[in-house]
Amino acid sequence: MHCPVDFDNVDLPILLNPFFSILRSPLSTGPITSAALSALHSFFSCGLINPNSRSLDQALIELSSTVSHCKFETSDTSGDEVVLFKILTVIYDCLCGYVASNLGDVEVCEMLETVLTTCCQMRLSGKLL
Amino acid sequence: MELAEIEAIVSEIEREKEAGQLSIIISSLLILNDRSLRGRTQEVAIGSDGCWPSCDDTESICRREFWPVDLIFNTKMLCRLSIPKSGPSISRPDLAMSKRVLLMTPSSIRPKDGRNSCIKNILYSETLSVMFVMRKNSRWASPTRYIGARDSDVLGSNLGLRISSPVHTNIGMSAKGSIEAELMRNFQELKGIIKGISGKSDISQGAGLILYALSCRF
Repeated sequence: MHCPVDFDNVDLPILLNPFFSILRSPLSTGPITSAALSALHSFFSCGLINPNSRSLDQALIELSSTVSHCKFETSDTSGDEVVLFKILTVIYDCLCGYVASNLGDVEVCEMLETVLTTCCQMRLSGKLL
Repeated sequence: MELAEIEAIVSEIEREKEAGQLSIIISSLLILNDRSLRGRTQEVAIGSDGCWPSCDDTESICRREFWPVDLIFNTKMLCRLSIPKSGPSISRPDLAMSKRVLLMTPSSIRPKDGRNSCIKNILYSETLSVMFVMRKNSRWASPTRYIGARDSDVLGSNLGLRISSPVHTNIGMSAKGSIEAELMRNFQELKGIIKGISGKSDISQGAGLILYALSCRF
């Protein structure tokens, strides 16, 4: 088996795929989805997802699609709002971070649509608006 | 125009440029001030000394070895200093601080081994945290349902022991079960990939990681 020697030699989608799978899965609960989103936020903060990452464009396409179609089992309202807030945080990291210039039009529109859809939900508390 | 005037203008332009870059960094990191996210990131980034210096202890922060998540400290400190987001005028001490922050952007993380080690630890800790939350859920608490009678791990599983890797057999697996096993297998593969990454192993960082795992566990 070929062992990569550096993170620069590893495709970013391979590293992020397990977390994407969690976000896509309808079987995952709110806390699990929340943990996966926190992980993505940490990756942005620590610089794992940076403009020099390998296959960054592909990773961003998958990221925007995954975050926009994030599914989880609903529980109580406050718990769901935490997940929604973390979704918005990851979108913020994408749109306003170092990798923003690598995003395509489709991805930006997709994420903006998610933000607007979240903000227009009447049952959510004011913190998300 | 005299040379001194030109130099003054150039230095002023450079100062404004740095202030502009600083505002971008601050605006992208202000989100870390949220309590839950900050707590989460603090959990992830247990430092080389195993504990966090207080925000007021500037000297201890300066002495610390470079660690990417030190950005959080600096963000907190900058917020405390109330540096305007887009203000071009910035006083000298704040400018010195901004230079330190700018030096810590991801593109300048060096050396590579240190960077690999940091990212490796963060990936491990995030994998652990997600797996821990998943294990708390009854669906992933025990993979007994997906083990065939002829599997070697069945005895241990019946005794209440967890097997460390997901089962890859298709015998008796429902579609839902295969999805669940797939989620766990992805993380196993990720662990395998991370193992192949070079990076110096720091005992104190490893200890920090263990502490983090234990704090999640109990």
